[in-house]
Amino acid sequence: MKFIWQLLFFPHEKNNHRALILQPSFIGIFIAIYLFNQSLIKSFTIARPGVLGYSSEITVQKVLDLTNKERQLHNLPPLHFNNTLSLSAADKANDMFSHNYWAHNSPQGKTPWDFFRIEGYQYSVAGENLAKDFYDTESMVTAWMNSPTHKANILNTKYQEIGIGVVNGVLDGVKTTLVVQHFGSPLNGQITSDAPLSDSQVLAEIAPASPALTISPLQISKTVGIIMFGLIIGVLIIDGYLTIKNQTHRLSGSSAGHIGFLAIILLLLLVNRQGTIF
Amino acid sequence: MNLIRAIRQKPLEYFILLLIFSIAAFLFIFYRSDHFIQRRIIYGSSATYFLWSLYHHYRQGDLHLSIIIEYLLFIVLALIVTAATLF
Repeated sequence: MKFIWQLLFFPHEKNNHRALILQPSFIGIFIAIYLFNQSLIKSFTIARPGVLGYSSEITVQKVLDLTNKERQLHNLPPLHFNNTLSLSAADKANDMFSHNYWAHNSPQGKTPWDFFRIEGYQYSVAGENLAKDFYDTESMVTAWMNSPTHKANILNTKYQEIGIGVVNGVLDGVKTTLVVQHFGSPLNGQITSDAPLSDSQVLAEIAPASPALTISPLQISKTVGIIMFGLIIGVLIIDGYLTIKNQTHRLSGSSAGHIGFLAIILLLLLVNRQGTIF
Repeated sequence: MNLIRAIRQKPLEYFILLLIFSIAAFLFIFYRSDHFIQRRIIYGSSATYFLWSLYHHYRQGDLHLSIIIEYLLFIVLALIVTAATLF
């Protein structure tokens, strides 16, 4: 048994001086294991929708505060909170959940402006920002500010009012929180300044699911990937060390190249931020 | 061929590889808000790594099918994991 482990992780004459884990057949096994893991996650989200998902601590008030903080940093006046715009934002989030899509325009052909009209908000200019799968508000607003188009909405001097929808539900079989920002300026020029509804009020009205702590499918995929890459890089380093020590010559790919390539992918996995914006 | 000796024998080739990975990492972080561009950066750097490996082993005189398959499998594994987790 010990010998099998040795063959798996260390170069030896019995494994052609290359740890089994680094041989093409085992890399193929890693690929198969990863694909099997992904298909299990996908099957699980279909069989038991809403069990896997993303937990979130995002609130309407926090989104409003951080959005206005960004405007303040750029010497712009704060946006006034408007409950009609918030209802249109929540309608949009609910529409994405009920028709299972993630886009500005729905598969049924609804545009963001349709939601403004449905709630009776007459605008001269309007805009929409979307986000999903974020745990905290700070990361989400930072992601928007890092995107030129979303930043342009947040810092648009023509917008005077904002409405925010923070809605929990199940999208693609995965429990998540969708955040919709609707920006606008009223056509009649009359600005209202409503107080944001408390999250319990908003959620009671529009939430189709509770935001209970769930297991993130992305985190499962990421963890499996990190373990695989960490293991392969570790064995490549041991392999490099032992081949120097034993002065082994063999026909194989460049260990230094593989370490560099896998390390850069591992780094990207580790630094990759949560959530998606649109 | 061992790791350190390989780098010492072909410093320019490994410097180019380091440059490819550094540029890829920089561009990936620079375009952190654009998944469309990030995906192309991953595809581009993987393709460049594959081309580098062909050139490297051709120069070394050991460009065999088994080595090409090894590189392709490492790249496929990386692409599958990044596709499932980053986008």
